[in-house]
Amino acid sequence: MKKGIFLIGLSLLLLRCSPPKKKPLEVISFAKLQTIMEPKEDNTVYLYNFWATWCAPCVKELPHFDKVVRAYGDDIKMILVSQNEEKEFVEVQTYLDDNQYRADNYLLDKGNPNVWMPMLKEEWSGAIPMTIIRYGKKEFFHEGKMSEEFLRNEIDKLKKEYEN
Amino acid sequence: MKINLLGLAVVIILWVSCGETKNTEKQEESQTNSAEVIDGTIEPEAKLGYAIGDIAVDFLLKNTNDEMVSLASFPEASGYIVIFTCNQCPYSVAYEDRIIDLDKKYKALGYPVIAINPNDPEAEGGEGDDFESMKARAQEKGFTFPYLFDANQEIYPIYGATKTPHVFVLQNSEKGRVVKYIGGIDDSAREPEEVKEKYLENAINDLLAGKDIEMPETKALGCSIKTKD
Repeated sequence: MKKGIFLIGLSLLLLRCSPPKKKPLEVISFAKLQTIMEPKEDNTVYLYNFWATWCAPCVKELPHFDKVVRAYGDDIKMILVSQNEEKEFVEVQTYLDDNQYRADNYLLDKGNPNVWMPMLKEEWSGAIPMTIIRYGKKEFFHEGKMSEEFLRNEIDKLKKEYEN
Repeated sequence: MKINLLGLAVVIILWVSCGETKNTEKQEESQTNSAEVIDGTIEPEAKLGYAIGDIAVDFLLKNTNDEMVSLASFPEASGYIVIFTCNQCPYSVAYEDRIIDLDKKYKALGYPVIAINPNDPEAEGGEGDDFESMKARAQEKGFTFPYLFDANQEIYPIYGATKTPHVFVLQNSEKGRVVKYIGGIDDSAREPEEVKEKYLENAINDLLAGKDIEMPETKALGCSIKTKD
């Protein structure tokens, strides 16, 4: 009897104390991406970055993007949208597993870019890396790489604008 | 008895501390509200480069056969298919065969392809886009068109190329070389078997038929142009 209770207690404890399940890499449609990217009024900065494993400037900036996101803590949420092909899923997953960025990870089912790119951001000509930062109704968009300083400045600017 | 109490205390402490982490995460998740109309600010960025209808400049750039080439090198042409592309970008590589086919089809009809590598081989990510590698690629693939090196990276900003590949179709007129089409080649970069819309061919066919181009600007994915800055 005592042993039983002990075992049950232990397993419950283990369950509760197991590390939170990280969301695995998910393939999503553009429609789903739009839903994910809908502006939210929740005092959270949403940092969306469009990247790919084969994109050198992309993988160069992700570590300092992650550093900034961790520094801002609960105030910011990063969403990484890979432009890799679906057949490269394992490669993308491996890269993400190796790097453990604090982000939600998606692989976009790209379909016809000419259809959805203007819907996502008309100004975007299609080069990656590309970053969109949203804070409530305010937005920052940048096509090209961003240094750590540039990123921090833009996040701070957005927060200041919003709070005024 | 003492051990039991100690064990119980440990369990309770662990239970509580683990529980706290879970709660914070739950709060984050439950805060997504319904969407509101966005009227966000757009970071103003300098708008360089051509728009449809602009007159394009000529250039004088080195070809992989070591000769200098310009648009004027094609006096018989009705226009030109200028494609900013490179060796390394997976999108550029995926399009190589299709670009060869485009030159094959349209040079004879008055629209030769002119490829320009806008990347700085000494910049981060530019490795493999140096002139010697360009020569090798042109030879391996049997490029039938000039593959030019934008050595000072002066031409691509004037045109407004932001990625590879990036296409600008020019048409000769009394006013000069008019930009008629800007954008992508088709709707399926890395899966050629799935191409449904051949945007570039449609545009050139419209020009050849003396019609207005139905879709003069299209969007496509590509690799950013590599600069030192």
